[in-house]
Amino acid sequence: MTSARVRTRAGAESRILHHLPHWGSAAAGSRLVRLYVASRRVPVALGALVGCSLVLRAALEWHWIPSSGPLTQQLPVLLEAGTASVIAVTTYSPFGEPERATGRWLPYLRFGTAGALTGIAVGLLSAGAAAAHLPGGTLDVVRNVAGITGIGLISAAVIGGGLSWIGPMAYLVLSEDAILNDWRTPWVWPTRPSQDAGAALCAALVFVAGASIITARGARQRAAE
Amino acid sequence: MTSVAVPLRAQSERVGPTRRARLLRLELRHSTMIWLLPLLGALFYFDAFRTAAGYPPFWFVRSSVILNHLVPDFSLFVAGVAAWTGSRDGRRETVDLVTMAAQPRCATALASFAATTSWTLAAFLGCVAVLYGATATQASWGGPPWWPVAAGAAVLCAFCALGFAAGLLLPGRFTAPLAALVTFLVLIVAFRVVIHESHPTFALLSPMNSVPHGDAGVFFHYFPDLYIVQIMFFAGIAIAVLGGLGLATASGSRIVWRTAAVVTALGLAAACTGVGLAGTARVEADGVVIPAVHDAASDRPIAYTPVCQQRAIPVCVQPAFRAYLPDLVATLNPLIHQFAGLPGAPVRVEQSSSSTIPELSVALSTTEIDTLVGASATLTGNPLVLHLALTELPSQSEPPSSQPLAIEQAAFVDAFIGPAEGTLGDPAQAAIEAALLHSASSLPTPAAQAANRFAALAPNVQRAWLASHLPALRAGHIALAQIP
Repeated sequence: MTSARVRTRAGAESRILHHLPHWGSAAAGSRLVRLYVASRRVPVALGALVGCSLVLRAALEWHWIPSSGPLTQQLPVLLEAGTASVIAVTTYSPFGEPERATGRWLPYLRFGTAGALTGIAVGLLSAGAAAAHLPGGTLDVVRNVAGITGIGLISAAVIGGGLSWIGPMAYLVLSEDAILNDWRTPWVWPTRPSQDAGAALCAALVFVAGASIITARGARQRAAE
Repeated sequence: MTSVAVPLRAQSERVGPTRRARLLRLELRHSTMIWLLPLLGALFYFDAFRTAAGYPPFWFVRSSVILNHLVPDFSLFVAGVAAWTGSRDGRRETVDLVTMAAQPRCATALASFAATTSWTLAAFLGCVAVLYGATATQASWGGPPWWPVAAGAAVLCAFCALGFAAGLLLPGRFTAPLAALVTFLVLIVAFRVVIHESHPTFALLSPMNSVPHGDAGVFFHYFPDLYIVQIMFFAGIAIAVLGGLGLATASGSRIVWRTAAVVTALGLAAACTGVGLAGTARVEADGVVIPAVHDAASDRPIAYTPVCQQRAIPVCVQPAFRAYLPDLVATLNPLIHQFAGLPGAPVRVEQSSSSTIPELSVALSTTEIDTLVGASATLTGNPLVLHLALTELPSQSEPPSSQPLAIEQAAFVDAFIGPAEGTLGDPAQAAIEAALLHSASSLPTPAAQAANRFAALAPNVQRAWLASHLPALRAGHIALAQIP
């Protein structure tokens, strides 16, 4: 007796495993992506990213951002760190070891999800700032979101997906302090102008490092989570 | 076999407190906040401690970093971790198991909250101890102010409660980062937005307020009014949120529900009272006055014995400024030699409170995070005493030569040469002042030429000319052409 017959007898097959696709087909691939995205709560993450974009829009519309001085960078960096935190938290897996042991496509899915969410976050924040003067412009958003997301992904690999938001938030506090005290190291890239090559390189390096680690190893699994 | 009958109810009542203590101990041992302590320590060092080290070693000025730096840095992590802890049962889908356990759910939730808050307050108080310990080794007068510490603890408890409630009511992996994000958003945006509304005094409730002027809390008691109202507001929020959590997790117990309702009402009343009192605040040079909680005794000046250094004209300062006295005397010495014995010269230079400077009340802003720069001097009394107010001083950690007290020199000369109070100086006065201060380049050409002429004279010739012309110069009766 096979398990398939058991499911058929119980009448559950049509409800639980309807239309099993052939492995290797496009449908199987899309189903895998869909299940992975659902397990990482990506739809909720997209909602949070839209929320950050709306807050940026409101800040620009109602002049919550000062027009000059060091405080102009404060709110945009806060929202960029917020989006990076959300992306980092999506790396948390509820399945743990079984998924690691059996998921052949897992590294691609991890990389694809992190990369796509980063791109979407940049797009949404840029859209939120459209037709308004955002200090630093879109280049700043690309650099800051990518770099801080890299920090979030590294945090996820080190302390686990659930608490990975701590890394971007710690970097946020450091950046706010650097903005107020006029520090100029390229490793604190939000303090540098958007055309600064050194800051862009540092942010890109951190993002590549984070994406590589999370692709290869995934978020750390902690029993406490 | 003999059976012993033990009433179960009595046993349960006897071990109840022990069980609760054990639950709290378990939560304390497994709290996520423990793992965050090194990070919080590092942030404290890089932000709050280094900022405080840049301020002069006066207790009140140094203590301003508690609310301006330490509390905001801690708040977002505290809210995030509290949300993470509060969402634990929801994330693990064990709410049903916990609800039907021996302990009521509100008791277990309270233990989790208490553990997170305890670690938070322990970290906060540890950082305050380090800050105050370092200040104690440098400050020469006064003692640590505790109101900012109490207000900071109330703010942290409030954000901890709000984060925990968010986690408990909306469990999910994104609750913690969003709680942290919203906390920082509230701290840096919400209170700033309120300033532009019709009642900007509500912005005073923000823990991130202005840095007090250099001698705040030295000559007069700094008013605790604002701290009292901040504590009332934030502690009220914390209590109301905890009461609300009790309502949400009462699990059918009528006594718990009623108690929670009363606690919520009390918390809301305290928070609303805080908001109402903040609306009556007015900003003065020595702090914020809120009439309903203001103690008239704090208006009286603090008694002290000045520390003096004897020169041709003695220079005296408040004991808190003892470390700056040699630098101040060295700065004023050339001028003292120039002016001693001249008609209208002071017999003594005395430090006075900067809150007596009229410009200070204009420059003070409720939320401006900046230090007022400047000094002011006035000649009063008979015999004449020059009252010198110092509003900003270099940090003790920096060498004195890095920030010369040039502004005090200018104030000294201005008080001696300058016009009578309330009138504008004339070109001759400006030229003589610039000549004595060697700053003629800042003047327009004719006055600069006169200043350069006077500066080129030998000191004894300058002094002789001042001795004969000073009353006329001060009265504004000297023309530029009359300056030698």
